Amino acid sequence: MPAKKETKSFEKSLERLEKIVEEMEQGNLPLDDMIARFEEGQGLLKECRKKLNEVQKKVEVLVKKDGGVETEDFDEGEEEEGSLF
Amino acid sequence: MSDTQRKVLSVSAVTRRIKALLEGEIGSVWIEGEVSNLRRPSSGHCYFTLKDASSQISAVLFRGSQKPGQVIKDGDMVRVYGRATVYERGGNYQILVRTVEEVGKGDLQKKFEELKEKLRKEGLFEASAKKQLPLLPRHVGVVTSRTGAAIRDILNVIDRRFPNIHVTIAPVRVQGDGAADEIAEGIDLLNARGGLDVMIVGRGGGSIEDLWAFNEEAVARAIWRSRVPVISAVGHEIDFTISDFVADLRAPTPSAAAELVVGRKEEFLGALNERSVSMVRILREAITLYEGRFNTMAGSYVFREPQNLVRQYRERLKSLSVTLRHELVSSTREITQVLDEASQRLTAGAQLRCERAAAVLGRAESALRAMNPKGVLKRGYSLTQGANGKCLTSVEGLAKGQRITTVLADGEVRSTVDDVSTT
Repeated sequence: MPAKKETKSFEKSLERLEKIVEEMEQGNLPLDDMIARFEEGQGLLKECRKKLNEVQKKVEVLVKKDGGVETEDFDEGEEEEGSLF
Repeated sequence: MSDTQRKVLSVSAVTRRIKALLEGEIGSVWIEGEVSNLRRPSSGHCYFTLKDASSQISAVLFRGSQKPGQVIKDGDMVRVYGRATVYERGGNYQILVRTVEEVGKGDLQKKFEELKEKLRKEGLFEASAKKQLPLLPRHVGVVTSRTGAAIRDILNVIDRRFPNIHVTIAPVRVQGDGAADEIAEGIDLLNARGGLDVMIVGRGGGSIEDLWAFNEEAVARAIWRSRVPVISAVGHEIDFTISDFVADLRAPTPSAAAELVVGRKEEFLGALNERSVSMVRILREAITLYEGRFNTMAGSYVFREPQNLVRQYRERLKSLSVTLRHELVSSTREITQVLDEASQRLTAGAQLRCERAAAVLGRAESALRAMNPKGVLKRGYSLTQGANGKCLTSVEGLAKGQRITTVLADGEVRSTVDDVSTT
């Protein structure tokens, strides 16, 4: 399942981020290394945020049409009765 | 037909005829059924519905007919003896109950226990068979009524906590005849659609009859064969449904199910934001430290490789402030208000410091440019070094015959002192 792999890499990224913050926190890094860590961290953050948000909000509803099943946007305010069947 | 030809009866007259017919034809009978929808108003009379799998009938047990100590309640299986009659005012028929005999637990309860036991033996409730919920759910299916409270509650929670999720609803009836089959088919359809990470199957609270579809075997089997992990979220008035036992996870309400779905994602986002804020803070502190060092070093360092050094650090700080600004911009709406503000404050602080550091360096650089001896030499001044290579700033100590070197913009002149005089 691809989602699982992504989750794994996501967790790895998060782990790496933690390590980076830890190293930066120790305060004995030269500025060059500090900046390098920061940049790596920014990259990881961006990647992880992207993964978290790569899906835009979308609410759809299944409808039966011409013997098949299709989807249409769900209007959250709707009071329309009905089910698939 | 004209009015004179029609035989027009009053409502009361028809009702009386129906009543006579019903009472004459049915009379007093024994009826077995399950008590539901029991109401006991202050009058002390008992109103309830007797039902079986396909029909129901209203019944009333007047206070005077009640046996002391006998308490009937919803779900009880009873045998009543009573007279069929018509309640003229309401135009409905009912049984006036004179005697109530309990016949053990209600039929529904019995069916529930039997199915539960059967499915348990088959292993449908095994913990080892439960599927893991995804950590990063992106596409969530919901099998419930299109218009019920459940879907509104679920969407509210998602909107409030983590809106960036794709939701697909399989609209089904969640109570009444055929509801169980619709729910089961909804689960199957969402599976067939593919791409879902998790699904919520449920409805808001209700009576045991309202929730009954979720105790049906068809629903249990559909949940069992679902490849997509299922969270069962059925009402809150009774403890458990069969669906709850078969599902990979049970939530007490549809809202709680939605929280389970988005909770982990929110947790991750929180962890990310925390790291982000830490990194910006640490870097800001480091820059403050370096800024201080620059200020104290400015005087001594610059005499060696001043321009390069200054330029180099200025470049670095510039790119750093770009990175920080970028960090500010990429903080989109997924960050909670508080974190957003904190991060902005920190980033703005860091940026301000970078700019300040750059300004300090800029001033140092122009001061250096002004101090650069080569610039001065170009304007016609020269620099004289003694035999030991040191710059001469006074004639003191110079004598005839000593070697000196004069540095001009484009070269050096070596000469011997002829005469020394003070001005």
